[in-house]
Amino acid sequence: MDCHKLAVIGEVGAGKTQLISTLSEIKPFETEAESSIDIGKQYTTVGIDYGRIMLDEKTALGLYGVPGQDRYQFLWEFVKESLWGLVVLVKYGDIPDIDNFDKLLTFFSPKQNKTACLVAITHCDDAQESEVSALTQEVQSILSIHGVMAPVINVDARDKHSATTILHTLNAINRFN
Amino acid sequence: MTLRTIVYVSSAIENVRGFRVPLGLSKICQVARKNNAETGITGILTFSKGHFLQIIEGDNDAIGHLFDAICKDKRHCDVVKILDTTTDTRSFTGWSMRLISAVGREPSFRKLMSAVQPHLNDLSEEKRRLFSIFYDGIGGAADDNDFEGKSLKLLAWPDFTQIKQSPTLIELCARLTSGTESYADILKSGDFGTKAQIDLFLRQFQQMDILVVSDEVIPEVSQGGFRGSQTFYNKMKNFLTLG
Amino acid sequence: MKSPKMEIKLELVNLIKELCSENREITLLSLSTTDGFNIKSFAAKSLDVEADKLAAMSSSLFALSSSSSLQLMKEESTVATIESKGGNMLFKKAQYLSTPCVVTMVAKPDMSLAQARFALKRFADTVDSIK
Repeated sequence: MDCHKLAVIGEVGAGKTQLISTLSEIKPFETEAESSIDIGKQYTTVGIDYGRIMLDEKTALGLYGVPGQDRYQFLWEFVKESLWGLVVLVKYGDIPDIDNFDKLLTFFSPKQNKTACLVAITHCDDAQESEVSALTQEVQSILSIHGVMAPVINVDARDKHSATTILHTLNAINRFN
Repeated sequence: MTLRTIVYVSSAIENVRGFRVPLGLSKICQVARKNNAETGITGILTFSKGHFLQIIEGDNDAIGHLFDAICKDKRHCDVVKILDTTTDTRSFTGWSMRLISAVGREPSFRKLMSAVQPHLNDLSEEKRRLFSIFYDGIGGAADDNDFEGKSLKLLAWPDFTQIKQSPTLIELCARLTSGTESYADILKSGDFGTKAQIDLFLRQFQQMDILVVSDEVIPEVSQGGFRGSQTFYNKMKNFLTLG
Repeated sequence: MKSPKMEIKLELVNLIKELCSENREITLLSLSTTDGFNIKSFAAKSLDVEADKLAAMSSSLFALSSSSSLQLMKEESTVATIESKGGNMLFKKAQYLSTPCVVTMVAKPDMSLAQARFALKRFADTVDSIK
């Protein structure tokens, strides 16, 4: 079996579980717990969400969703090795937790490991284009500290077509990477 | 009516291991737009290499109050006023605060700069240095729209709020961000659309100031430029096409 | 980082102290929310643990075991156990002041698994009863 790995990582409420559920062909293995703080929803991922896409009988892409807070670094370890792609989800409307983002990029080091990487901005439904553009610039300047040249795209994690853009983009990056 | 225009440059605060990241930029724009709409102020904001450049224009008192508030704002530091002048017409009508990524290519900005050129010539060395982060003063060099025989490279991925995301565009960006490629190879590969489509994309990249066009000679690439696993790429592409 | 404002009742502090002083084999006892925030924990000096990382680990492991249990046994997990030569680590769900929590206990091998399970259950039940 030729199995590649895609890691989806992001802050609380960014849409990791939803994205994996939208993309996965199997019923995802989810590890959500009731949230004890106000994050705008009842449940939050505390373990690994796992989903899978079969490309043919022998080739699969495993989808691993892990929490983005750095206290969950031991879970990052699980997914770190030989990644096909790294997706960082950023929720529009929240100011990104810059220190955490920095730790995450240091940990996964997409430039050094030549990992195809992209940042997906979620929850953009009611956003003004110019504000998404501003958030894109914020994200790009954090990426540039790490020398990472990666696309920042808008994604609706609930929508299959939109979520698939992530796979398409990572596939294109891997082709020339 | 006489309008007051202030142009200033400031530094983003050091917030990540000594680096200056424009944290909360979207919130800054959002709040500025709301407040400026109430006070009749218009303008633009841009960020580059750890620095902000902002231009505000409006009623004399309103601009004075706003600039005082800007100087006290803790989200940036080292505010340096580059220009404080009066004009008869607005340069940024309808923009209560527009964020611009490639300011040197913005026609309304360029028009204002040529109108205030005499002031720019009088700038001190320090102010000139700061201002040159955003505008080299020449700005008028026409882009070479003929890419024949040239090599191309992207300095960054485009801002997808400015250009429509499509599979072809993404493939082209992935290729041009990975290294310098010859225009001939891009055309020949057939992966990136027709010549007209490719040229349109390239011109849009030029407008965003992210395309480098050079005379560098690139050896012809084989296998469609593949560097990664071709088998997995094809399987994934097939999967995505079939939906 | 946001974290829940949780009242630390004296009863809870005493309960932890009591259990750990009565059973010297227990090297770690912690109460954290199921979404990974520390409420109160005790750890022997010999252990080098950061409370927030321990809480995150407890929430993940408990969530993984609960999810596996639901999928394979169609029932919620009651206790999750990790055994090693150095001792046993147990996780159990509890309810502290109406917040869903995980109790994590690490005990040296000279405390039998049965003893550890018994101590854990009694502790979790008492936590549930704190008003």
